[in-house]
Amino acid sequence: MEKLVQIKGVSVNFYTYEGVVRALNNLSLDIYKGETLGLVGETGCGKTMTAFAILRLIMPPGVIETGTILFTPNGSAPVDLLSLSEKDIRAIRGSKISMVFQEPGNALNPVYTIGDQISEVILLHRNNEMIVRAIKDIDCHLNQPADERNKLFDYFIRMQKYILAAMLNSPGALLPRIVQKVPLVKRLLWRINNEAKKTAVAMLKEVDIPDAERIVNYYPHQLSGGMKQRAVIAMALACSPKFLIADEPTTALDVTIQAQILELLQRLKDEFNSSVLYITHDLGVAAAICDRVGVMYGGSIVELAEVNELFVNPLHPYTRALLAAVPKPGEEPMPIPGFIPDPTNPPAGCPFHPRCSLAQDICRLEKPELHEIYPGHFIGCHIDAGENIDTPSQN
Amino acid sequence: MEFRSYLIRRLFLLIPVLLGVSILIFGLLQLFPPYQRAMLYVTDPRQLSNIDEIIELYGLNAPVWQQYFTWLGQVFQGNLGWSKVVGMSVTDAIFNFLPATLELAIFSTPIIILGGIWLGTKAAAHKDGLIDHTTRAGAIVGWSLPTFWFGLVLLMIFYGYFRGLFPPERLSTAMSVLVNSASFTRYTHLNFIDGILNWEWRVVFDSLRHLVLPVITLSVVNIAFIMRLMRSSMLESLGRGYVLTARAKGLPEKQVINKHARRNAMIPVLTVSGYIFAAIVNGVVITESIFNYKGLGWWAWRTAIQLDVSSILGFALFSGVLFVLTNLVVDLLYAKFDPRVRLGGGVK
Repeated sequence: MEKLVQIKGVSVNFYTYEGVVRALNNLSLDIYKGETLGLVGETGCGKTMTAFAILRLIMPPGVIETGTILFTPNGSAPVDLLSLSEKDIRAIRGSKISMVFQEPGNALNPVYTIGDQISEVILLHRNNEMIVRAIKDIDCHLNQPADERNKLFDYFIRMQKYILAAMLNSPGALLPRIVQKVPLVKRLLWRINNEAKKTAVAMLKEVDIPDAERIVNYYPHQLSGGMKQRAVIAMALACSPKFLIADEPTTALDVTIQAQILELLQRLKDEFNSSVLYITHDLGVAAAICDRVGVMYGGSIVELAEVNELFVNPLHPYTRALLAAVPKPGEEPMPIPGFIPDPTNPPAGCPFHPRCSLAQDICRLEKPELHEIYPGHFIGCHIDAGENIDTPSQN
Repeated sequence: MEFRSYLIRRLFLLIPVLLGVSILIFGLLQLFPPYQRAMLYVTDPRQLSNIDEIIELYGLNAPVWQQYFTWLGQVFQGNLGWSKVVGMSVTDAIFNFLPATLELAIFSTPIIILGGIWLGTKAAAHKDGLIDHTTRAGAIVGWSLPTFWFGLVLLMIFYGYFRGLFPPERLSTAMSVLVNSASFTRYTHLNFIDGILNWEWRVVFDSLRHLVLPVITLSVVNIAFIMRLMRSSMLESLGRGYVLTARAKGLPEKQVINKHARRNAMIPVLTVSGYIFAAIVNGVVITESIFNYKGLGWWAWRTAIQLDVSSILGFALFSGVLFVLTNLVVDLLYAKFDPRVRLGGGVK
């Protein structure tokens, strides 16, 4: 399988007044084309930071210290997202890699309509396509029988067509630049916005929003949580991204809606042939939709395996503890003792050792590297696989 | 469509509010004896000799509710009484002094609101950077400057040291003679606009020269206020999820700030801007008296220290109505900016 994204040794630090917060600690992760990779772990383990690092959305005081993130969209040479210029990374955000956030109510801007917000991303990354469609629209009008047309209006739309063609062929020339900047003249470009809105309606239909022609003019507060999340997904997929990052997209929704959204994400992923990084703290959800699952702890991956392998044969003590902590009917859930480490002052060696029942001397001294135990099954733990297996697995 | 129904709802709400204002002011009036109250019905200095007749005519010894309706009837006819301080009817006085204050408001409010919003946005966008620290320090200084002291210092520098560069009052003597002459038509009584309409650039220049110092005095204090409000509102907005979404879409930072964050951050600033405008049009007593700038504030101050009852109540009524109307405009702007206000919550 081809790799779409290769994260190699990425570290992210936040320089706060309390000290340096080590949010990501030498994280390495590959994401293959067409797969759904789940990232699970407790709050504060760096799942969201991984997503932000890929899109370079980490804001000061956060700094990406080291590492490379190679992104290889179809057939092109890999680019390092971390060394791209600000302008180039902006061209990738929202078009080739996009993101769905946890709180749909918070992710949508309350003062703009759903349609405006989806159109915005279309106009940003698919402007030329919209111009071509607008020109086609004009041609369609001009091809009508001449006697049905208004002469004056004809001149007007011919002028529009001329401007649109200029925008397409020489975007840097004076005329298109003036038309795009000067307030009232800007309205001449309404056809482009119209096309974008039509595309937005098509996207809303794609995410199964009923009555999309009406909903497109609604403001976020007029929609229910599930509808908002569908709108956010429509926005994220508007430019058919190759890579979709979903950061706990169903956490804020109730269970029936969650099932619908998960199904929708699965279907769209296949339809757009994209890869998904699915961040969640819900192991059930991860088991249901992911192909592979990575478990994160203290800013790095501690275990990574095929979904069945991970749930049937968890090797890392943390993964086992996490699985044991899931409430099951008729059983007492087993909370993991202790708390997640203080990120400003992480423990030396393996970050999990203070909570680990199997911890040995080496765990306190040396941070374990992620290594392959079985084909496709990686763990970052000093304890030998053989020793781990003799305690029965939780599932 | 939805905006129109909101507008109609708000206009209907205006009626009880204005009635409330009038009852409050009428209630204040009842604190005075009939002789002083009679001043409200005087329209001509000659009537002052037969006050008793006026008391009789307007039933000032009649039951309170009857008096209220007589008074309200007079108010609706535009009769607010006689201002003995300036020797004209109160209505005339208001219309006489309002243009001067309006001139101040026309120049200072845009500086305050637009400047405050711009500076606040800049400061929030460069949080903890050089721009942020400079503007914040400036805002604290500006907000702490007492108007009376700051105005006097400005006068000492620009009128005293620079030999009348920016003088007090509204116009120089020569220009006020010109403005009051027969060849000069006073369309609006706003000197700089009348100057343009009469093609008298000397008047325009002179009136602007006189406006500089009071406008600076007003702006420095209020801009600091708006800027601080805008900064905090903007910081809150920048921390919201939709800003992150906007960045994740690939929008340039400028659009993220100016389009997504600012529109939301503007909402609290609007309220305060409305009140600042209303307060300036209501007359800025200290600024106007320091610069001997004869506007509403100057007049209100004169009438207050001489207990000119009819003027004080006329002014109170004017302020009340002005505040209610400003509130209306602010509410309409709210609705324009925030669809949640316009549409009401929970339309599914």
